[in-house]
Amino acid sequence: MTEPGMPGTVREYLASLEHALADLPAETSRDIIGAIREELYGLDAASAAERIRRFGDPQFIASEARAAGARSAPAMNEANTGSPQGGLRTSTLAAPAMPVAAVALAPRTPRWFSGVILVVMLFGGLVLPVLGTLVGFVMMWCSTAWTRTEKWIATLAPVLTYLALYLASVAQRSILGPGEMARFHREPLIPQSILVDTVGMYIQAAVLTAVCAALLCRAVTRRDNTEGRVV
Amino acid sequence: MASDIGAQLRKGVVESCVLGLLSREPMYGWQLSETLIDTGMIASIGTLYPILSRMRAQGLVTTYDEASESGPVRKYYELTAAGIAQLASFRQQWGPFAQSVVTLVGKDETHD
Repeated sequence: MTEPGMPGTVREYLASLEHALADLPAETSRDIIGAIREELYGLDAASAAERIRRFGDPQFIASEARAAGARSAPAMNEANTGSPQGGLRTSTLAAPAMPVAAVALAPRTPRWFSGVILVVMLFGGLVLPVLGTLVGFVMMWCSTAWTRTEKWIATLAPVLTYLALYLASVAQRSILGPGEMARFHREPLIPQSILVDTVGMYIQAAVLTAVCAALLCRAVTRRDNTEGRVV
Repeated sequence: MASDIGAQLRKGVVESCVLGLLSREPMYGWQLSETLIDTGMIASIGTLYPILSRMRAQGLVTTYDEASESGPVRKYYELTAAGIAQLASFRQQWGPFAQSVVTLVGKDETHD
């Protein structure tokens, strides 16, 4: 999978890296490529080239990973295979920026799928009461389109609203009493909007809509920022 | 060999340095790698990941993904309870250990 707009040098560097790390344990090579991809994500060609210079030659990264892997296995006193003392930074900086093919960028939930999640959150409850909405929220939590804080806010806002409305409804019932409540429902001249039970539904729907709208904005603007980001 | 001494020393302490860095705040790979490279603890990001991988296998660190404000989803590393305990133990031993080494090795009289 290639990220549209990803500079050729990034694609080439990542592919070259993947090739160089091929003989390392899968977890190590996945982690290294993942970390480097994270940092090159959304950079323009010039910034990416600078960052790639700092990462260094894929072959050097691979040889260091191999040496560290061998050291960190069982033996504590194995012979050193690292760089000469004092030459650490220099050797990294001097490594040439390598080019080659396409590797996926950080696995971010695509924008269209974020939209699907929001639709399920908003309207899932109409198809399958309660469960449909829950499915939407679970999908939102599994998505990588939002930060953990955003997910908490998006979850707590409707839940707290529901709790507040529930308490208000209980309070109204106990203040008015059953007889008065029934009269309110019957009496055509009393506006129904003064009953928490009636207006609560709309408030709840408005809060959920606002939350979904905010999440949509975050998902869309974050992606835009990222693509045009210059570090 | 002079070049071997630095590498051997780093090998012994780099894991504890990672624990120390993560005790301040959870960090992602590039952040850790830049700090450790700048302080001469590792040579490249390639050196870091086998170490992190082993630390995770030992239950000293754990990871979670978080989307950054205007960037990609990043994998953050943070200390576990075992990692915190290991760091505390290292901190206790390091001072006396370094002191003993200084005493045993003595000063270089031929250089300032």
